[in-house]
Amino acid sequence: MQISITQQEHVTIVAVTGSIDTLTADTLVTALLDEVTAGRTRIVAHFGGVEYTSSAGLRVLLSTLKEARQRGGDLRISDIRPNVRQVLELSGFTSILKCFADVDGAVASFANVGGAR
Amino acid sequence: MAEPLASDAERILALSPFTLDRLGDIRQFLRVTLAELGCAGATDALVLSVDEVCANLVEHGTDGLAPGPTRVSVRRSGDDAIIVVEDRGEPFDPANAPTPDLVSDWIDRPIGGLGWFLVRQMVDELQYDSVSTAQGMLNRLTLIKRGAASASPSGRA
Repeated sequence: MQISITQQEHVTIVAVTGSIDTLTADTLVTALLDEVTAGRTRIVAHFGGVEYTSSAGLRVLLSTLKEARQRGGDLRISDIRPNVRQVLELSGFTSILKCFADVDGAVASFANVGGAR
Repeated sequence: MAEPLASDAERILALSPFTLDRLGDIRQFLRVTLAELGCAGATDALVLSVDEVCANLVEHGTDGLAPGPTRVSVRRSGDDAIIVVEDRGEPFDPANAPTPDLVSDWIDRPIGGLGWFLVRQMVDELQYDSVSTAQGMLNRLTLIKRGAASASPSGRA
């Protein structure tokens, strides 16, 4: 798994490539929570390169989402592949996590609410 | 070159020791094996299921190590794919796994506890046995995906 972090319009884009499992999830949650605790609480998880996730990836997403929202930000996700989307849907995550077809739409969505939430 | 295996021959991956960095090997073994068996359409469902099962063995083991050797075997029976995971850790029947919360709002949603739920969504049968062997007790978990040989790639049970 590889992680690439960039800033765009006051939004932090965390692009993930590869597989998220119990081994790699720790690295990902550390990277995401480092951003949130540094005050960069508007996060887009760009999942276009994520070919696989187990429930370990769900733990990462929910941990980050909670931390970000409790600090006035949010975690949003883009470019989810069908097999990953299925895991999110079955687990009831699509009702609490905002999903976007592409990263630009996810970044723009933060501007629509003034960025505070 | 080796003779091709019969389509119903059992394929085995033995992991000793089994550590979390072998999860990727397990997934790759399943992708290759299920394709060979003509069950590629069930790959997503079975890769996820077996990954969850095996990750649990290590998480409930000690020092990041699954207790004792772990063995994953795959075979096809008719149109069904049958996967057996064996280990020598503490007995655990997944029938006793708690029901997850899928509906609470984000702030109340517990983190974790979805692994066994996903396994149950992905396979048609999940059978646990604790087996007595000459080397001691053995946990044997059998996962059955019916119609795996004709499943569509998204593969939900």
